Amino acid sequence: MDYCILIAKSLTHAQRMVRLLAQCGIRATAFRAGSSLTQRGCGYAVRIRADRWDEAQRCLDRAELHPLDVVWRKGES
Amino acid sequence: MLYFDAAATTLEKPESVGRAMARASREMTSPGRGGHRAARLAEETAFACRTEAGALFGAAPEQVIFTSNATHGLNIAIDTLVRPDSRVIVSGYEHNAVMRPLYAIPGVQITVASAPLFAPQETVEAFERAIGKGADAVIVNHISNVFGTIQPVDEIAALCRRYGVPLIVDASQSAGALPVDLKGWGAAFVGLPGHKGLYGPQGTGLLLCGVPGEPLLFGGTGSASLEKGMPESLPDRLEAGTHNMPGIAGLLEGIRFVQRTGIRRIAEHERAMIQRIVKRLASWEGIRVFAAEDPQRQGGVLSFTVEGMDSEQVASALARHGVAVRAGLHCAPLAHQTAGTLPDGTVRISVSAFSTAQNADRLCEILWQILHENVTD
Repeated sequence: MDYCILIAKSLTHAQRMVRLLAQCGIRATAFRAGSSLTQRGCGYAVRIRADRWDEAQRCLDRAELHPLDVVWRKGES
Repeated sequence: MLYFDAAATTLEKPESVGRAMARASREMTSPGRGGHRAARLAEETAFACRTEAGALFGAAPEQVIFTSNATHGLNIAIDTLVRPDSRVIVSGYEHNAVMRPLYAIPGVQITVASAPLFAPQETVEAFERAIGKGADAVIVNHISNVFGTIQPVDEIAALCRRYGVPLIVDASQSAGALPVDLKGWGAAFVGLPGHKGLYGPQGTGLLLCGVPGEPLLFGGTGSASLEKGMPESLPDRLEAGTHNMPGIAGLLEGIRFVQRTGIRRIAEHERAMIQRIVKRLASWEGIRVFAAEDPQRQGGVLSFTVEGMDSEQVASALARHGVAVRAGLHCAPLAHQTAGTLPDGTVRISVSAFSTAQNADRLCEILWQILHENVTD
């Protein structure tokens, strides 16, 4: 399954995105992300299924809660 | 002990506060410091605290910063907005948590918007006169920690918005007892303690940030570690170092208690306790009670002085009879200068959601004995 990884500004930002996406019916998981993802050292990111991205984007846009960056990953479990 | 020093620290707490603290000590580390269970539990608890505090105080979760007390938060706020030679307007009832940080910045021009106690219209007019002459920041406490006077913060906030001046509110005595609204006020910062009207433990506080703050502390945040400076985004920018998770877990339960009980109900209860005491004391000879004519203008704090007795002498006599009050200047010499109660200060009675009418009556009886029967031992 393909995934979409939303890079967060902070843990709190990641938690807010997870909560908001859940309210929009999208399953999302926050996790610690390494430098290879964040480019800034330790950080947090949110993982969702790639096929939910369009819906997730609309949901986050409505709340003006934007990820720092979006990374696409193929076949992650 | 009959406890009437809630304006310093609420001693009586909901039982859930202690339980949450004990659990956090056993099971939690710090948010943002790992993917393991202890870190995740800390993350969930800290986020719940930010979210529920934010909902109560008109702030988004990331605008809620954990501090060690209100003083800590007010220092961040002042350090962010006030520069050498800045012009700052304060009320006549500010605490040293505001005044000392201002005195520490060279050349700051402090204008005191002085007005009598329990006089909201005159207070607003004093602020308007001062703001009209130009200012870099306005700082006001919501309730005086000495006299309980409720400051017209809604109106002062409106003036600040109209003149484009950043506002700092010290909500030390009002958080949990009056509506506090960062967004509604359009305030730059609101500082508040966890250990008073929010019924959390000592060592906790919150800074609500309407604008980005400048860090006082620099260090690890569990985020953006490759960057040499502190992260730009809140809350990480203002939260260096390991979090006080037992404190935050306890504070969360205190906030939940306030939410369950209701701010309006707590305020009504505190007002009823203060009025009960005022009615007794006001008729006594030789005692000066600082009470508002309109009880709606006073929070859960009441000051009085006794003719011929030092305030510390009165408080010591009460302490010997098992009554806890506070005497002296209450770390707010400016308030006493404004009200004319320097140099001895006042005796301060302060109440909480846990104060009872029975204890209030007993306090008055003991005070009567001390003052009228010369019973000091």
